Amino acid sequence: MPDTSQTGASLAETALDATRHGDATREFESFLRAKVVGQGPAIEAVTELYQIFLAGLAPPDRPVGNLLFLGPTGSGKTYVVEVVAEALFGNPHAFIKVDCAEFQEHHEIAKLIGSPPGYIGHLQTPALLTQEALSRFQTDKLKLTLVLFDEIEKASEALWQLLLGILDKASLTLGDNSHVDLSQCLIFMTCNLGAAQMSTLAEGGIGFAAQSPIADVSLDDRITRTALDAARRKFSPEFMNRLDKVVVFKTLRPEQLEEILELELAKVQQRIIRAVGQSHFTFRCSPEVKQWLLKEGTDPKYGARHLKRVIERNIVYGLANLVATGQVTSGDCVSIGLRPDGGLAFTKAAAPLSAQSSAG
Amino acid sequence: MKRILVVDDHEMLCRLVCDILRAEGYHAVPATSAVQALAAFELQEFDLLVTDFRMAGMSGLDLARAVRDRNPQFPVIIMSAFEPVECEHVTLWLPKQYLFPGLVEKIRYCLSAASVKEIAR
Repeated sequence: MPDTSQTGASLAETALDATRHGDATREFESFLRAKVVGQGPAIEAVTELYQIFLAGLAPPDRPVGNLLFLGPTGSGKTYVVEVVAEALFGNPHAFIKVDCAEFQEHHEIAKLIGSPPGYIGHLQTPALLTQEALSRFQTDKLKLTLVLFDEIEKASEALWQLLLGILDKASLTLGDNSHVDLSQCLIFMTCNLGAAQMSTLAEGGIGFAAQSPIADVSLDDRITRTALDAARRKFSPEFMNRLDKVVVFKTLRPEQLEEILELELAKVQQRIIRAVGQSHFTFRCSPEVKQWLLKEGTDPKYGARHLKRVIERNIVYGLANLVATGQVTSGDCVSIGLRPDGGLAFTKAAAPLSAQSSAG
Repeated sequence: MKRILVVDDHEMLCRLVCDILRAEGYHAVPATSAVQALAAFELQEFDLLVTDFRMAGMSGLDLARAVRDRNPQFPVIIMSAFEPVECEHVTLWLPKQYLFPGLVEKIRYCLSAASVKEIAR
């Protein structure tokens, strides 16, 4: 061992930057930032754990990371996991999701780990969390699995005990007595605890008079406190101590919702290009239509939860019907505006070569 | 995940319909002719056939007949810009001018457990 007490005196010191990220991590973070709006702390938490994993410094015999996502519904908790999966595996569905609402009764744990010996269904109930299932999305380059426990506040006591073991020892014993190793897993947990209070705060219902639902810094602070207090009240200290990061998702501000809308509309255009290739058509929405979509698809209570569906129902379905009836063909540019009666108006510039009708 | 074979010789529409059905949570496979559809049936299993009525070569009705010859209860939805034709091999008709959201609703109906039994009767 060199005598470190003397090295400082004899050698020139090089300043190191422990906050710097490697190229792979920076790329990962950029991908997340391009797709997730307004949830910086969640991105930072995931990026930090990913950097630790890539450096091979994740603690042995524990999951790569245990993250708890708190916050109002529609703020993007599950979406962040989907984007992480897309960034790592190119597939937003490349993760294992355990919907805790399906495990509210003690016996339902058999769906997750299989029935134990002596019980009906032993060796017949396929377990969800098997070693094969965990390695399903892993690649030669990336031996990492994302596991999401959604709405953990709804889990039964039996699932809680299971979860405590997973978070602490990265180990799970199935009904057939086989062991599952979760040390290559990044565990996400989402929780809507305090959602009612958070909604009240977001809607401005606290105080002597109702306030306007303007999302500001103090509101975010209050929502953070409300969510953390609710989590501490519900979850035991053993559980809280096993978490690496607790992230409270913020209410989305109007300008962030607008940004999300632009991202979603761009995704629809990308889908059309991907689906039909070179013979695609384009579309654009007027500012009035964008405002209408925001009004229909977002609100302080549910955030941007319904935005995708509203776009699908009103824009995508409409465009598909135009294609089906031969009104839109490849190369067309469809403009979508708002009619005086509030409905959507689809128009296109006259094109000399536009087909009369190709419907069969 | 339920598997749906979508057949239409209008390639853009066929791919667009598949994309929308994927967003709805189905595994949708496109085929741009009845011959291609029958080849797909040889290779994979499907839960539902959605086909255009008038196509070059073999029509949607002929395709439905060929599929029902192998599996008499197999659910078939025909999309058409024309009036429905009486045919025992078709579960549901859908006018193309009202393709969406009609198609999503009809698929949901055809694939629901109760409907499968009803169709089979």
